[in-house]
Amino acid sequence: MKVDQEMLIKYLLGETTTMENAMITNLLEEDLTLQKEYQELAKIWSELESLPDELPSQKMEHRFTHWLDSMSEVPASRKSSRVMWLRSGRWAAAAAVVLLAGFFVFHQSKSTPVSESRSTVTGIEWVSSPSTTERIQGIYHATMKEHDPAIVQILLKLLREDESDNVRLTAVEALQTFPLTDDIKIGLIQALEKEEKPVVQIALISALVGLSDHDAKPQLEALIGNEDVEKTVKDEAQLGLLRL
Amino acid sequence: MKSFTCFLLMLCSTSLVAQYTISQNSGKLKIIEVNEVTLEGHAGSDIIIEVEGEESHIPERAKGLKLLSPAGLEDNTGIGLSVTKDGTTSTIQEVSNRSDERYIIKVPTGVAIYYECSTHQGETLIAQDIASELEVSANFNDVRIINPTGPLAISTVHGSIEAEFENVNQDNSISLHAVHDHVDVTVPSSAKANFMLSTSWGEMFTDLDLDFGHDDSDMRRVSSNKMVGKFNGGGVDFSIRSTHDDIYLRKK
Repeated sequence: MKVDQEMLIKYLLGETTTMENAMITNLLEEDLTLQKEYQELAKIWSELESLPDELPSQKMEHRFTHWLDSMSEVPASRKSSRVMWLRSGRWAAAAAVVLLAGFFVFHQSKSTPVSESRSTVTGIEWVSSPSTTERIQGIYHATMKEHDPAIVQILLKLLREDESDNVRLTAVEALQTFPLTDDIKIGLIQALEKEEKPVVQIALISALVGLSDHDAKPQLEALIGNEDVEKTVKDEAQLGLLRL
Repeated sequence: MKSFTCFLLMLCSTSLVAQYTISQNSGKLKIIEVNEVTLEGHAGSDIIIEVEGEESHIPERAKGLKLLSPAGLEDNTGIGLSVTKDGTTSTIQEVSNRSDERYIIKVPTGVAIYYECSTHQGETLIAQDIASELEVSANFNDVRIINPTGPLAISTVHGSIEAEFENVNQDNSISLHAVHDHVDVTVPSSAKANFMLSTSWGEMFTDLDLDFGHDDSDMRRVSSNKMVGKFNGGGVDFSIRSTHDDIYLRKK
């Protein structure tokens, strides 16, 4: 039997059968990758449990949920809400909620913010700010001190969907400061597949080559063969292939 | 008599300046595919567009005819531009795709500016005394920024970026990113900033006494070609990047 994320969540919530229980316990002792995944889920679950009931607020949770485009139903209770976050297969998003709730608590507790505009970037507001430079400022602040996996999900979301080249560019730069994970590698490759602006395409190629990501080779070859791609991007892709 | 003649000539030349006005002192101004632009900040309540130099250079053979645009744009300004308004956002687009007119666009303090130009015809974008947010996404334009007092997000692929600050805005971030050409920044010696400098293939030069925070308690040095340093104790986040060329960061 395959132990996937759903099975791990069931195990975490105590919903597995005795036989499943024994099997997963054995596998967790042997499989370090599975063990790591379980530990991350357990950590997020524990942090969700430890959140005060009023934080994050319904409004904030709803807004973030909407932003992540992942849910359509309003959770019936705190417990079910937490389970939904895990069950939705978007546990990293749940981690983001935990982190942002932390930011929110921190923000609320600060009595004298440096400046009004700076205070807004410590909460969730910066993600959906109409101001490009405020979103960029938010990325700088979110990535300056913490290497949190939840921030990676936010950066990947911005990289996929933000309308500003300059924000996507900053997201690429920021992602390179995190320890390399499969999420980041896959996110950068997928972004390169979709990206149309040369300035961001070049930044993505540079990032993937800098990370020595050999999985990016097919995408670089596709760019070189694509008639719609600008020559400067093809040159960068060619150079990248040589370096890889 | 001579001075009176000069006055008359000045009066005539002033009256010949082609101009278009948009009544707007807040919201956003988008300038899309306009090849040659000079942006000037001003304290007025309107966006004022002028053509630099003489009247539009319409070919003699085209006099009396209407320019057709494959993009479906229509010159509704009389100066070769299409202006549309959607809520609090105005959009200016150039009808001709090979125009060599330089447009001087005077922008009120409360209007954020977005400039985008992807064509080979993109010439130097000049931005002077801009107090609001300025975002630039260019392919071939050089960008010259003089005395900005608002936040900046500037990127250009083939052009260079040169920026001279009288004061460094502390409200939001400043990012200047060129791919194939240099970035040259001059700041006052009293400026407060957290500088993030990076280049993949170029060199970085500065005469600023930057604090690179070797204890790593507050700022991180990411790699050999990416450096983070505080100036005057730190301040606004200020990113300067050139992928293939050099970075110059100097003080006045």
